Amino acid sequence: MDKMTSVGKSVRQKDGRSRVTGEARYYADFLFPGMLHTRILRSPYPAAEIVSMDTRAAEALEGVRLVMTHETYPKAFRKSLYYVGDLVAAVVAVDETRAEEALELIDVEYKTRKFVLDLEEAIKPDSPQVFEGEANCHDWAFHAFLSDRDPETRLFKTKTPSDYNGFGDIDKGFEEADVIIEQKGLKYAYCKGPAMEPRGCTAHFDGTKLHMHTHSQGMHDEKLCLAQALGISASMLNYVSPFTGSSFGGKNAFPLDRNIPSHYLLIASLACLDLKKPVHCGYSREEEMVSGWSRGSLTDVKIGFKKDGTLTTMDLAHWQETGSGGDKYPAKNAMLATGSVLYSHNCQHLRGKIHYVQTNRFPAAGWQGYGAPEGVFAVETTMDIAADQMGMDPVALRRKNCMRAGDIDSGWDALGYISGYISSSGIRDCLDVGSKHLDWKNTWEHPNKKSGRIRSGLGVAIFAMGAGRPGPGNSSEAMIKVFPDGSASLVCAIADIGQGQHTVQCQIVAEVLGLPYKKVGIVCHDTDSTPFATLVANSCGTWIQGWATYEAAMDAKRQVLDLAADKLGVPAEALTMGEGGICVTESPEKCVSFAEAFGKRGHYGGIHEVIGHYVNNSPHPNGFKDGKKDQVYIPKEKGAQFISLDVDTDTGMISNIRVIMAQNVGKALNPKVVEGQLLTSRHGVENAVLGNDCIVDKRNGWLLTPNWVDYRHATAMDCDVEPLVIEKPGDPTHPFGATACGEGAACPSLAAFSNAIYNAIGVRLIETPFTPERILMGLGKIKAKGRKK
Amino acid sequence: MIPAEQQTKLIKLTVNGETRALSVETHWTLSKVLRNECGHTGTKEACGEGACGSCTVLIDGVAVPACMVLAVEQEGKEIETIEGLSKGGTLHPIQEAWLEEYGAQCGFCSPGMIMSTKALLSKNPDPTVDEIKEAIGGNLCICNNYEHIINAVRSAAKKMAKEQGRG
Repeated sequence: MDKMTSVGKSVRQKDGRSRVTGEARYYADFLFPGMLHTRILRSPYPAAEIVSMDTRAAEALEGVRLVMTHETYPKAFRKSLYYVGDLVAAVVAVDETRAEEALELIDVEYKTRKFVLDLEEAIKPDSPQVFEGEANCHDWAFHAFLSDRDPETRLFKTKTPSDYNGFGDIDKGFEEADVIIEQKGLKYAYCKGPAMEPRGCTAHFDGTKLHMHTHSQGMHDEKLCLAQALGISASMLNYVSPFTGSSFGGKNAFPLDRNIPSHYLLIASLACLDLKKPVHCGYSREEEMVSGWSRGSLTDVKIGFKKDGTLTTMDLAHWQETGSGGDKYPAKNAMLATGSVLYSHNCQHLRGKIHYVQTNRFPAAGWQGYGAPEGVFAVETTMDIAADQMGMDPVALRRKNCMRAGDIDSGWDALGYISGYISSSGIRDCLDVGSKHLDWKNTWEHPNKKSGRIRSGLGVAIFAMGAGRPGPGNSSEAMIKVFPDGSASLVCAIADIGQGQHTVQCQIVAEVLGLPYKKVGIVCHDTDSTPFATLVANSCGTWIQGWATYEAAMDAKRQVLDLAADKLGVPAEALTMGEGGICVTESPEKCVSFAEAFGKRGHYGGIHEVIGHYVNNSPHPNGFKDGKKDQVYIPKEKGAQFISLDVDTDTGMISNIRVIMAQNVGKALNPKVVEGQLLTSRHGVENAVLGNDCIVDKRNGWLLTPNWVDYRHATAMDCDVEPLVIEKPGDPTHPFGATACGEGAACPSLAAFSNAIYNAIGVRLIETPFTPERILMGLGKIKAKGRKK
Repeated sequence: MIPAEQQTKLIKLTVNGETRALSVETHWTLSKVLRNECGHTGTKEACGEGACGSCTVLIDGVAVPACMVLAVEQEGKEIETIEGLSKGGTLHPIQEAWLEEYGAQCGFCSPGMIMSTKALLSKNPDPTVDEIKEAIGGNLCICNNYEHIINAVRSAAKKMAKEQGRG
């Protein structure tokens, strides 16, 4: 591996050609003769019961093939409705126009219930309940106290269920602290998880099997869930997902949970199976806008320090909105920003109380960072205040306390390990490189030295994010086929949602086999043709699939070398494999081609392909420290983000935004792919300054920004992002020393923005988005708006 | 409600140099007709209201979101879609530049972004970065791959200049 030929190169995207020619087929591009189209009738009320429905007129309309309601399709529809946009009924017709016309003919009588549209209101004991008989606010079910630390390994040995996550003695920690900084009520707005291609699917029954064409983050898992939800055998269902038009976590489908926004799958499948016709069910942008929200949190933080800035104690209380029963798991990731991971180096006493809260807003789904950005926002703004109060440089305070390789990760992912070792960090390197890039030492000034209408600010925040799940039940498989013409195929189900996994996995194969990258193809079309891969979440692709791909390629290589060894009469260890075939390493003139190595082959037999296979049951053996199975390495995404901006103190407008995103990726398997991942930092700009917020009409729960005009995404014109890819070798948990990269870029932005704004104008904003109105209120130039009574 | 047969109209549409007769409903957008009637699914639709540029095609050389114009109004005009760019299996320099500079992440915005680039470079063969940003300002890339996209446009401009003997 000394001289790598594929890994580490910015080779072209494996399936890039079809993406730039329009040949790539996303789910909506599968058009079948006689295909029927679906439109969905959605709830106009945030909380209601369906009293009665009359669908006769809709059913009688020419071109209508099926009307689906909770009475006829209880698997897909419910009588109770929990948000504006919840599903009431669907019409399947010969075209969308007919289906839409029929929707208007469905007569529904609703009985409305009381509703709640705000996280803080929903927490109150007298709040209307989103789900009857169930409190809106839930404590995290896996809170645990860690104790009994092994003096030698430093790992915790005992995990006790508790009403909070923590270790040490929180009261003692604050008693002994010299400096205590506390912030309450930090709010990260509920934001729409981004998706270029709206949700949807096309179901096609071929006479024996249902083929589900859709986007996917993990087609095998989604397939099994769908089969189970439909009540059909898994062997009857093929999940087809060659391309996904971005997902960022949000489009991960889970049709078994009625609250998760993947209803199109059940609707199209049920209609297709009953009508035996292809059925398309694609969401419009407006429908997409009521599906899959994220962020949305309220956090209190208190941090204790020694005089010299050593962080000893941290207390965090965190409430995370899930909308109407959406994904509840992101809440736990707020812990990543605490002494459990990011500040694990010095933190001795920790308490984290995690809650998730239901409202009658749109159901939550995962999104890049999956809860980590909210925790980072709270902790990293508090760290900035601490630096200010202690008279320390914000970068220096972080350098002193941030996690380092070998520190103890006591994250509370229920993975079967009480704690583990952080496999690599490099945050201090990221801080150094970013500071140098911005000439921080000479350009950073305290806000009290700034004046004038336009004031510049610099802010920084660091982050840690999960990266692969080193616990039981997380696995991926790969199959490598080597052909007699010297080409190879990777057969696997890793989803490429834009993050480049198809490309980097093929690079791994090319590197191991010694073949040119262009000679490695990929089969990743559907579940029928691939073995299982875990869903791409927690930035695990390079890690969990990467090992499977690597080991499968090694397996294939061993087999080919064995075949060649027979032909050349030398041991396999004496051989080298490359583009031209297999040669004796010490006598490169002695070679056999792949075809010669494979032996005689005819139409009726012989070796037509050599197949290598591997199941990576995470963690891979290299994921244990010194091979000890109770000492696991836990990989992380980690880095630092710097924001430079100007604030207009007359208008509250922010301009000249520069985002410098520095991340240690261990080894960039494909530098351009990695840069692309860091460019996704722009989502933070959207959340910070483009007004991203879930603005609903308080009277009726309607989303007031149900499109991309009113709910803004960043364009090329909104800011500049400068990716700084740091490659610090030595992470033992990956065959090439790579650590994950994907979700990290979403984590630090809001804290870095708040810190930069403070640095510019001396106003601390703790509620996102950072609108001109909030800036002007902070400056005392306008007063908070209040309803006149 | 008007019966469907009264809403349909027979039109002749010229797409990528080929003229074909199509029976379309009068309210159908060009993007819908290109995708469903002509099979040009390279034209993506992401918002349906002209806010994202995914469905950008060239109409008489001008970049237009195809979801915002009606198919029945396009008779006699030259429509160019992403499928018309590569000739005989050879990629257009813009497509080559996209691959070199990693212009596509998920790729859903790429066809529209590439068509906007083609419109820009046909008018302005040597654009500044600000001019590029403005030209693709109506094309959203949710992957936020803009720095790579801008590099791809700059690289494409150089390739095209070279091809035309200007480089």
